[in-house]
Amino acid sequence: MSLESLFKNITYFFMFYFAALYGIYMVMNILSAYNISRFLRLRLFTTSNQAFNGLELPVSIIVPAYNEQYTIITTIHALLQLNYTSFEVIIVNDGSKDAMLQTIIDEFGMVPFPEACRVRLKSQPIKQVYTSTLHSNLRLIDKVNGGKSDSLNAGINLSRYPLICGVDADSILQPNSLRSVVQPFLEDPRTIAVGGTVRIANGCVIENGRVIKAGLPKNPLALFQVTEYLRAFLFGRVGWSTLNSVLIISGAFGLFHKETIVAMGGYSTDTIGEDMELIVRMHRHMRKMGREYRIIFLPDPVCWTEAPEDYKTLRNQRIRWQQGLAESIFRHIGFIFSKRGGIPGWVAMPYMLIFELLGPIIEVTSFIFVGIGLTLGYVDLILALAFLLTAVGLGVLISLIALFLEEISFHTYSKSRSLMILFFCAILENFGYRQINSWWRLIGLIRWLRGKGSWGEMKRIGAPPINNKSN
Amino acid sequence: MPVIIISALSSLIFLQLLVIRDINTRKKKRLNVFTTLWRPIMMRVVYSDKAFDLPVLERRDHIYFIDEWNHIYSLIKGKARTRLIQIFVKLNIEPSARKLINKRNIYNKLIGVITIGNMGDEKDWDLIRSLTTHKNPIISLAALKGLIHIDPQRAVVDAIILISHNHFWSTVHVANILKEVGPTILSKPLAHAATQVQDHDTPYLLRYFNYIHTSKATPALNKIMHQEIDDRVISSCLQAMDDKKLLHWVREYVSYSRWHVRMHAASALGRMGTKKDIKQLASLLADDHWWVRYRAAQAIARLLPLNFKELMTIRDAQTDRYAKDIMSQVIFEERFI
Repeated sequence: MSLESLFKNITYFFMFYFAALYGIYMVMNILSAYNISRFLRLRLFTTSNQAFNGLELPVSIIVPAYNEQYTIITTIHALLQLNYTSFEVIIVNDGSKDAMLQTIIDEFGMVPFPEACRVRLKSQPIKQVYTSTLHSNLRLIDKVNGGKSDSLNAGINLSRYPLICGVDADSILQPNSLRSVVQPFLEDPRTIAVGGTVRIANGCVIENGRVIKAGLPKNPLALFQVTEYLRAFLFGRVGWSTLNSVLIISGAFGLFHKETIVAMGGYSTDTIGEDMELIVRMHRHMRKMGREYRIIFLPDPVCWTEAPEDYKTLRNQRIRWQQGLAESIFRHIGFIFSKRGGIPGWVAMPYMLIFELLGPIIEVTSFIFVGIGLTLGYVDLILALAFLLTAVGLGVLISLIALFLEEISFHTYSKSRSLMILFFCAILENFGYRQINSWWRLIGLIRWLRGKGSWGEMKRIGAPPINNKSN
Repeated sequence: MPVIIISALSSLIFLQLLVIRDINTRKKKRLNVFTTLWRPIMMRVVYSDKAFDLPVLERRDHIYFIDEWNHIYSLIKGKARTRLIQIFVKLNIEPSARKLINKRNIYNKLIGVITIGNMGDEKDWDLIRSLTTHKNPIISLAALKGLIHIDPQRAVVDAIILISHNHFWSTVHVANILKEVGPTILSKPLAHAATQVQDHDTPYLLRYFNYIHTSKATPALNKIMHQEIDDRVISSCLQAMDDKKLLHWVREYVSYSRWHVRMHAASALGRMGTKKDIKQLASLLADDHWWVRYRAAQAIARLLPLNFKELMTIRDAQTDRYAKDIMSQVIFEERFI
């Protein structure tokens, strides 16, 4: 085989790879559109017919927090105002080095509480449990630092209710978010986990820990993440949910059946991608037990989160995500094509492995390879353009379809100007932003192979960021 | 060429986005105009005996009308509902609602079931009843609600059978429907059915016992407890008990082998027991299971309301560390929370 035909064949392979990737996205799109339209139409009935009557499943909200002194008070106030009948809020101070603990104690009249701890999951030692004298449903755990998963496990040990809701300390929840995510548990007792769509809070008007008006950020990196999140959540996870094959429920906000988590041994403390690891383990556990179950992802935008606006923080976040993904997939590699794997093991996990985990290798290599081939004359211009059409052009279409889906469903950004900006963003993000992302993911993969993994810190824009109105 | 293709497709999507936005804006405006006109008319008709001239309702507004009508229906009761139904008949929208019920689209079907159910016409009984077994629980529950609107007395018998079999129905939705029926109609058939159904169905009926009269619930619970029943049914009965006449059953199960039975017995003693039961409850403070200890401590605190001196004496008398800890926790909760 001549060098020219070798280059050509490899270029065809890359084109096939991108076509397959976007083909899967397209299928997810269709599934998601079906799911969203059904959800929106029936929501009217399910929520209106559900006047609170005391039979709702009570929820324990667990907020692991580390050095969040500027955001935690607003978060707690917002959580306490959630529109739901029966819930408790458990804040877990994971050995913070800042003044977070004292800030909470002062603000909520916390007093030491002689909790008769029930230890069902291992966690770092608890130094003290506090309870609020102002809010009977608020408790604070002060424990030795052990990481997010460890804090969640400690919170589960002290939780009193059958459903547990893990919330990041910087998440901003909608007032009805708890009510929305509980709904699948009420409708189908087989439900063991529910996640909701996370949106970017940058640029939104936030008052007392609540998004009053959705808006777009001015920062281009944050702006690209708005379309990226639309794509990931609106038709990525919602699409997989239609097949009962969701593999990730964001750590920012998810609701779980407590006894299932406890039976599985709780959150894994030796992984940095604990949210995905837990869900994959849930699939394996339930399938191994031969029990029917549902893991659901709601298209409803229930949670808002602050996106990184600087290059370095974003880069570190994406590297960590890739490391977490690699850990989760390789820990459960035996689940792929396993006897009881079902759609999660036979379709969703292989997709994750080929396109999400190993994808960056192919994506980065393909651009370099075709570039070299074009320069050396082994790949002609027509073929190179055809490659670009599949690699970038289809990406543009997929991003635009995500925007389209958002417009016909939730219509979050009501201004016409916002629509225009998002439209151009959906196009522009495919020329540079996505390729940089692939590069970061590749670094994440290499770091994971070399065994380097640690959680970085989120650089917050203007502390305290969510106390008052902000743009 | 590829650039042209991408640009063309992108422009097409953008155009679609604009068209959709325009359609939605127009729809919103039309709905606003409709609501501004018809909501006051409906409210006036509902709260007055006078006859009103109704404006012409355009055919394309039928679906808006049906939505608004169902919404107002859910907010009112008695004579007002009858008057609301009269508007529906007068405007001849019934055929539109009937068409919806036969649609395959689940949302249209749902709106049809709700509307026809709300009309409460006896002749629709069979049609609505056939939908109570629909595979979609939202449709079947809406149909059940419809039956209740048509004839609650007759519907309740069907409803109870369906509830005992449909374990996937949302408890919250069912409870709201049964609440609408009311204890006068519900008490006798529900109490009777709970004693007749299979063991594995009993708990699904017992969870609604707090919506019926105690005079009916107590004999039924007594009868069930006399039968040979499994642990789950015992637990459900203990949860439903709220009459001192049943206290002997509760006391009997305080030291039962299964922990969830002991836990519910402890809670029931807290609700119905007397100070004499404190000794038995104190023995549960050292139970192997946290929830049994916690409920026992709570029950003791309930039997000795705000009597912190006595509560502390009980705590100090405990030799088991776990018993002491749980009493300390509950005393603190009683005192400060």
